[in-house]
Amino acid sequence: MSGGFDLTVMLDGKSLKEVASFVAEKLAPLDAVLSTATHFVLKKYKDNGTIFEKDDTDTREVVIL
Amino acid sequence: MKMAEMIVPIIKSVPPSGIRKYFDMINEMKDVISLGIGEPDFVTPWNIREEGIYSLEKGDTHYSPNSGYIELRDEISKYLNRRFGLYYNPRNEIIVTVGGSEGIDAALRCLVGKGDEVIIPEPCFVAYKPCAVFTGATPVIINLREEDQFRLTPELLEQAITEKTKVLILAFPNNPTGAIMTKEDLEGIVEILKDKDIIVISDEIYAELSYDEQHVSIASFPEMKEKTLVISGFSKAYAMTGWRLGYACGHPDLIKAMLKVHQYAIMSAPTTAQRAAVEALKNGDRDVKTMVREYNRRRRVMVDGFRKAGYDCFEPLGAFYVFPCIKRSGLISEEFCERLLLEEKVLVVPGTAFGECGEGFVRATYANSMENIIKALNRIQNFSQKQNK
Repeated sequence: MSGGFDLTVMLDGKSLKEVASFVAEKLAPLDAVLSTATHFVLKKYKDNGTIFEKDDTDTREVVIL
Repeated sequence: MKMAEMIVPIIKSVPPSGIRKYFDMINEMKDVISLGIGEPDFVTPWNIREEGIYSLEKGDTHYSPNSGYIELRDEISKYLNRRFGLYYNPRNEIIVTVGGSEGIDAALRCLVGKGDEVIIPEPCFVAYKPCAVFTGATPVIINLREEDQFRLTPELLEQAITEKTKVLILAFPNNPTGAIMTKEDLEGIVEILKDKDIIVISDEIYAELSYDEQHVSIASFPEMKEKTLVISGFSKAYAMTGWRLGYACGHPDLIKAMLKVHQYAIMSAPTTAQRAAVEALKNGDRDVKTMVREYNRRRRVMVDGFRKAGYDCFEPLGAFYVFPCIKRSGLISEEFCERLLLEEKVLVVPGTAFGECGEGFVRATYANSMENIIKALNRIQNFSQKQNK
């Protein structure tokens, strides 16, 4: 694999702490792991190239004048 | 103390807008398709929004000059020249306002008062008459006719002019009828006005939404340039209603007077909106074209739909409204709208909300998705068929 890292691990966690513990306790102690970088998915806009539909609720005021 | 008694008679004399009563009804109903909203269903194009966001990120949060940023007035000047062949000096002939509405109010306050008459062709946007009344002036109504395609004719104008006439409000492309005035139509009007001391407040907020031919401004007639105040803004063409930004262009003396009203009442138009509007004028033409093309598609579907439902519908060539005649139903406009809402859950606005001569008509807007328009038209056809039984 080219680039700055060799492996990507994707995991679901219930909280930031749960993810942090997994990295600190399970991943980082492995001999072969020199360093880790953790990225959090805050909001998903795309999955496998498919853009999630935006909410098309009409938010306009029904009556203005 | 009774607060209601403290309100001055002139304000009390103006009834609340006729459209409002439907608001409460709709709030209690589900699955209503509203063809009553007078604003684009599009959101502001991204590049324009981004410019607004960027200005906030930079901390550009102060007052602007009273008449608006000179960069914006420069762009307005260039835009009016590019699109409509008008020229206004950005230094002293353009003022940036809070929507087109503020421009209309400020202009009327500068031009008329007690004893003056303001000619208002109806059906029209609901604010002109109240704004004229607020100044103490007398509105003189011209009833436009379907047989003239709701255009202002020289004959009707001539009949309305008296020695007290000071202002004519000309609003084409028109809300609510969708009518336009061509160059030829305007020639007849110019012929009457050219030797008279009457100022034309030309509300051209829908100018970009012209479907058959390029919009012509009455200010483009050399003999009318000095006597015309052009009102426009960003709401309709650039889908920027919530940004509240418009402008007025005219004679330096009138702009100077309006600036007085504006600076004491408003101070200056919103800074963020002005920054975004510069981007709209510089790089917005393509988005406007795309939106206009889409409105045009919907316009044809809408006219066709009303005609298929059995209602006469003259062809509107501007704005985003159709104004079909519903006399065939045997109902008055208000009853028609109320029953259509209760029975078929489609909201259209009675023509009478825009003037008494709107009786027998309703206003429906096609600033809605094609999907909703088709659904609404099916319901309207249902309604019409039930009426026929």
